[in-house]
Amino acid sequence: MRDGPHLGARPSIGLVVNPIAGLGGRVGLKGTDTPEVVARALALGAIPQAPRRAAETLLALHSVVASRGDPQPGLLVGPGDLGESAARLAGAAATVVVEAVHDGQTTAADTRQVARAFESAGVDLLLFAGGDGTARDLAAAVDERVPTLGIPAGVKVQSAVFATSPHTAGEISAAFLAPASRRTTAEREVVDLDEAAYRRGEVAPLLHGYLRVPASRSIQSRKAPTPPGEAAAMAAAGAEVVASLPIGQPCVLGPGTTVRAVAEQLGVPKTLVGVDVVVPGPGGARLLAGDAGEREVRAAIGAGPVSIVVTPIGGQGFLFGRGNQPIAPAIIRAAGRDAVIVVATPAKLAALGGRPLLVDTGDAELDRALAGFITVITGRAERVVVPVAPA
Amino acid sequence: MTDQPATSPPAGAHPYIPNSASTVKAEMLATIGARDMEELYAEVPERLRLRRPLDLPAPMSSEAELVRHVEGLLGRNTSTRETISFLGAGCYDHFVPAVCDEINGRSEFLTAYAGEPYEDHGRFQALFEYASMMGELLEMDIVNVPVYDGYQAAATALRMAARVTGRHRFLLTDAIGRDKRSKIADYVAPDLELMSVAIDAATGELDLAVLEASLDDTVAAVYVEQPSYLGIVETQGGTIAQLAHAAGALVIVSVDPSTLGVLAPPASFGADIACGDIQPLGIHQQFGGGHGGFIATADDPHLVLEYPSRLFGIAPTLVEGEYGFGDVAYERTSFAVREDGKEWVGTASALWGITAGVYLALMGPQGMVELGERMMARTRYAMARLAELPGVRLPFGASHHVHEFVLDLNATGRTVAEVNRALLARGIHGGKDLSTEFPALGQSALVAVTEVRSQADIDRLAGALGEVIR
Amino acid sequence: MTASQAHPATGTAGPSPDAIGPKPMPRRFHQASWDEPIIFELSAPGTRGVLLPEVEPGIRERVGDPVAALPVGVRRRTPPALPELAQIHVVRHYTRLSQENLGVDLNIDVGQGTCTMKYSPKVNDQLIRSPRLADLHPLQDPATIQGVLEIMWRLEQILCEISGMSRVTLQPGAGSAAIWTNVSMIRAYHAARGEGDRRDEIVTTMFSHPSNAACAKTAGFRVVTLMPDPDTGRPSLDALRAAVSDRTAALLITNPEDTGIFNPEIDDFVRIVHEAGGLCSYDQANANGILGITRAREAGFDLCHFNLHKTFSTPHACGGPAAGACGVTEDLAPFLPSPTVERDGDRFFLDADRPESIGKVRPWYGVAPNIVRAYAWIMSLGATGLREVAEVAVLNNNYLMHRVLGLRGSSAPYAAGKRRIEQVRYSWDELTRDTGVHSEELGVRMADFGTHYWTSHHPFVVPEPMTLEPTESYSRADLDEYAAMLGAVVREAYAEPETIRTAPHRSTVHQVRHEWFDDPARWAVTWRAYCRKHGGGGLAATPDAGRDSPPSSGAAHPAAAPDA
Repeated sequence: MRDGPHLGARPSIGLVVNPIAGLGGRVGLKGTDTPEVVARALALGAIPQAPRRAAETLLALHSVVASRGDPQPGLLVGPGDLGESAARLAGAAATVVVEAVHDGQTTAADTRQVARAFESAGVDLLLFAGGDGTARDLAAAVDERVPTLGIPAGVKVQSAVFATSPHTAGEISAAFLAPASRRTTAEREVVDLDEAAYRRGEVAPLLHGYLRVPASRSIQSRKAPTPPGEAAAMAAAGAEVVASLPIGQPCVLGPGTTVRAVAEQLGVPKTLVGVDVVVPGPGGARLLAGDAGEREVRAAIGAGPVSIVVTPIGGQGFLFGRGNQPIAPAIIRAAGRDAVIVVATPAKLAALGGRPLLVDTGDAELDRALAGFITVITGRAERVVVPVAPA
Repeated sequence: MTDQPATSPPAGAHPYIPNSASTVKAEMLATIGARDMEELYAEVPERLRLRRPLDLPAPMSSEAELVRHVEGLLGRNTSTRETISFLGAGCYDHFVPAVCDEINGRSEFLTAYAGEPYEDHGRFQALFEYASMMGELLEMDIVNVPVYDGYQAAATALRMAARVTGRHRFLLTDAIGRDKRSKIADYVAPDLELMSVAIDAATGELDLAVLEASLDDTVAAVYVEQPSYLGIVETQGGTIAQLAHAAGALVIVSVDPSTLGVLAPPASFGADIACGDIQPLGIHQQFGGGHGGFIATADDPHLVLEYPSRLFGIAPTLVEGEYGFGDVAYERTSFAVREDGKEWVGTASALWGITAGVYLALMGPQGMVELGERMMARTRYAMARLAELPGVRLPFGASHHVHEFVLDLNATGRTVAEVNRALLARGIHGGKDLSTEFPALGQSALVAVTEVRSQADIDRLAGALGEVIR
Repeated sequence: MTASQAHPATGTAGPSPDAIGPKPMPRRFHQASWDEPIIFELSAPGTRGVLLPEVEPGIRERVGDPVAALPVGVRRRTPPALPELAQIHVVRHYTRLSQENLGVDLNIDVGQGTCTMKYSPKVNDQLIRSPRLADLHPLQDPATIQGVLEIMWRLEQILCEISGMSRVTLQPGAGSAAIWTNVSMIRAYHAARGEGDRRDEIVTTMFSHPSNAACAKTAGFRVVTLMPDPDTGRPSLDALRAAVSDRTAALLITNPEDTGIFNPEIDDFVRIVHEAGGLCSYDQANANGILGITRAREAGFDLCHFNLHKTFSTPHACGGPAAGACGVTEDLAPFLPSPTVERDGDRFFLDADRPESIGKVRPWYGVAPNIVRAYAWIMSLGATGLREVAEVAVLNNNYLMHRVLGLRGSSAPYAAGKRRIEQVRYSWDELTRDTGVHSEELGVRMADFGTHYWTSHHPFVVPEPMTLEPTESYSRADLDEYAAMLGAVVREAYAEPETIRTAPHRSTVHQVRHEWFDDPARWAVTWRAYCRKHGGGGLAATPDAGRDSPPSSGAAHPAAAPDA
């Protein structure tokens, strides 16, 4: 569907704005996932923030690119409030890719449609203004096929796919598209909270997927060798986990890219945002259940000893979270605390700054039993002792 | 500890501590709202406090007294400027051009450390140039920022080879110094196994039959030295490399860079990793405190990946025609499957690297050729003069040497220790006593002859030795 | 000092209309920038920098041409392609490069935290140039080297007293080498007790120098790292207990750690590890603030190490040569590297008869020039002087912290409200959230003011880190000036961040195109590699007329020719 404009050798950006993202924040509502909440927010006098923040990004991008003397990237936008209005606010020339499909309130489906249109047009970078909910839509639409960066404009901005500010988003975009850029990207988690739980004061992030985000080159340390990149660190940690798994014993693999590294070493496919059950063998492993719910997990592990491999999810480092997590309390109890293997890269743990990993299994007594200190596998012959606490 | 006359502590600021004047201290304490110094040490519990002064010698706070004291101690040494030295064994008495001392004495270099390649651009460029000049000597495209010394370079080269090949056994030439082997053994334990390969009793070169018999698919690398510890030039490098490579093993050669004006570099006969010590390149002996280690390979990412030391690369900056530098920091993607422990990087021998670069720039191509040629000539002359003496033999006399050789005194009935004591009384340091290190050689000495040992020096050695063994 | 200050001699006050005026703070610095070519580009065929003595005719007659006798394949075919320069040009080139650095002698070098960038006295640099140190061979008869042996022995005794340990070795080449030495002795100790296989774990902390973990891992141990408690900034006893077992060979710990926070439970840490049968090794690279205050011995340690190029003033020399010292209890003494320096009356000697020694950790006995420098420095200060060093270092650090925390966007995480010892790890997290500017970018911009700072080891536990360590060598005015420079950069971060992002502007060179360093197709570690990959002649065409350097050959590197 390449009916977009020919942009020649210039890099191009696709900008999609979720106009209702962040609407709830100023008026004290926590998120705007449902039309009812949006209506309430508007009734309370909320003003859309996202278009203005997106415009800030465009202005910053333009300014940085101009100061470097590089050609300005081409700009594709969604129609109306889905990007076009933001471009107008910034005084930026833009091409609208998708005709407006309906009047009235935009929905997640519109966001996804615009994103897919950008992908078809072959944009070099996809920018979105919104929150975790919008990030979920982007992940559903383009997965990791297009480099994507979030302009923070929502109330919930927990996913690791956002720049720290609209201005920084502009700078990162400019650096990413610069002629000399290596266009390094990294897989970053898209998490979102169970909003109903969140309104009750309960925090339980769910892993929804991954986006491929521009990653700044790790700055060299002058007094020590450059640490391995994330991929290498994950591979090392994964290999070390595999070396510790008993042969022939079922193993429950939780979600996340670090656990995927374990699966890669075992030679089995891994559901990135779900749970799989495998049994390690001499030459690799056999998949017992893929993307399993609680029932399938219980059926797969049987009655004997079992190990569980998990990695911390989200910025706060949740090991076990509430909600529809297939690794139910009964399964954790059956395995026993010592059979829980936590794997993480050193960088992931360092980012916690010494704060504990969190558990919120839904069973308060089990949470207390899991609390204390746990030894995390971080690489070959490397362990880190980290505190664990109930959320 | 009190055998020095006491000088009273200074009543006022010490020259090295500007803020030791009491008024400044009081004002600074007031600024931060602290009553006294004890408050700043509040976190150190009383039970861990040392509540007595350290029992140290009385200080010499005046510079004149300090100089007198230290020079008095150094005065109990006799240098190789005063006694003619034929000592080598890994530390050599080469001439150090004045410019080398001038440059490494410049405090801009001496007091710099670990800044960015902006404010410390000069250091990066000087080390890049050192690596580049070593690259020419070795004919290899990758040379590291120096590690501590040649022993470390060899030990790390072995670990690198283990990481590259995934194998854990090493074949080391017998003609290696015991100290170096000790360091290597300590460093590669517990992961790597060291095996010896004998040298040919007549030539002193590697015994190829033993090598071939020892090679199999568990061997990560063959390690030889050029010239060997016993001073012999290895002429079978090509065959050694063929045999090793056929078995899937790498070839590691530790080479003395001062010989590379006349000897073909290890890369030319198939070495995968070259290593060694840069002390011979414009660095004083300093009682063994002037060493730096180099490791060099081809520009193959699989090998580059395995360097634990820094590699400085050149790159453009935002301004056309401007050079910039930085660490070549390739993402280390092989942690999962290869031997672990990429060792470490620490403060090592950077200024010696810069010095070696200065030396090579002063010498130039012709200088390095002359250095090698003239050492060979002087060494061959010394061998000939000494072999004339009754009972003195050259066990490897038919082999090639550059600046060191084995002198066999067994038939003289004297021990090397006796002979060296007598030579010392005549103002000469004789060669290193090999009798405990290589018992098979009996009473033999390792004699070093560098480009500054004149004919008169060598004649004097021959004359003195002749007297001693009469 | 303001222009209105009265002149001490004339007593006149107030600026005259023609006065030059006071210097602004921060100063209008610009670093030396010579745009100096790579030395190969200065090559002039036929020139020489130094000549060697000729071989005497008597020798030639006797031996002929030994080089010609070398077999083909053993003899070098063509001379090495080194540059050719006259002596003056070598001097000029390297002197220019020397100006393009910022070491202790040039800048207020408080920014290189954990490096202890103190003043290296010039008198010590002169002393070590004496031929009676510089021209000693390590294998000389002991009778001819009594002076240097005595200095080594005396320094060992001094370090025993400073640490409280029973024996010291000066063999390691630097700090990480000293850590290696301690780890190797720990390994030997357990092996001697038949516990080598069982005790395969070493415990360390996240804020210790990465070489602790790296040395342990290289030596074959599994490394267990403790995270800091989020409030105190140091690991808790409970965390330690969770890490220690009968597999523990040793604890490697630094105190104070890179945060500058002293761990008051350090002796409890030692006790817990001892109860489990492990040894404890004290990384005392950060000893500058605690000399004469607290010692390894009283905390119960079995081993410790010092960096002579940090605490004990030997110069950093662009990254070495340095020197390390290890201290051990009597129980560990048999494992010390060989030989040891011994005294028998007024005679000093080397003892290589040590059957349980771990052997060699480097050639010979130690970095002798730095051993002499450290000895001289300590002898000029004595016990009261060392105490003064520690106290002023700590006072300077807390004073600087007071100044830095007065800057917008800064913080000193952990141990809120408590003093630090000799250094502080700050965070610019708040500034980054406000402005989007990162700590590393601030650090690069500092180069435009004639200084710099270091962030932290990786991975960053403290976000947007900056680690400053003043030492005792800097005055209050120095610290104020440094804070003023930092303040100027912070103001820019809030007002005109683009200036920071495109820095440096007044340094030797401009922003380097780092992407080259990750790309095997573009990286070049040597000039020959650069010419091969990118063509000869340097990054720009070389003009010839009017330059005061000899004309560049301008030719591509011989090996870069397509059919070479």
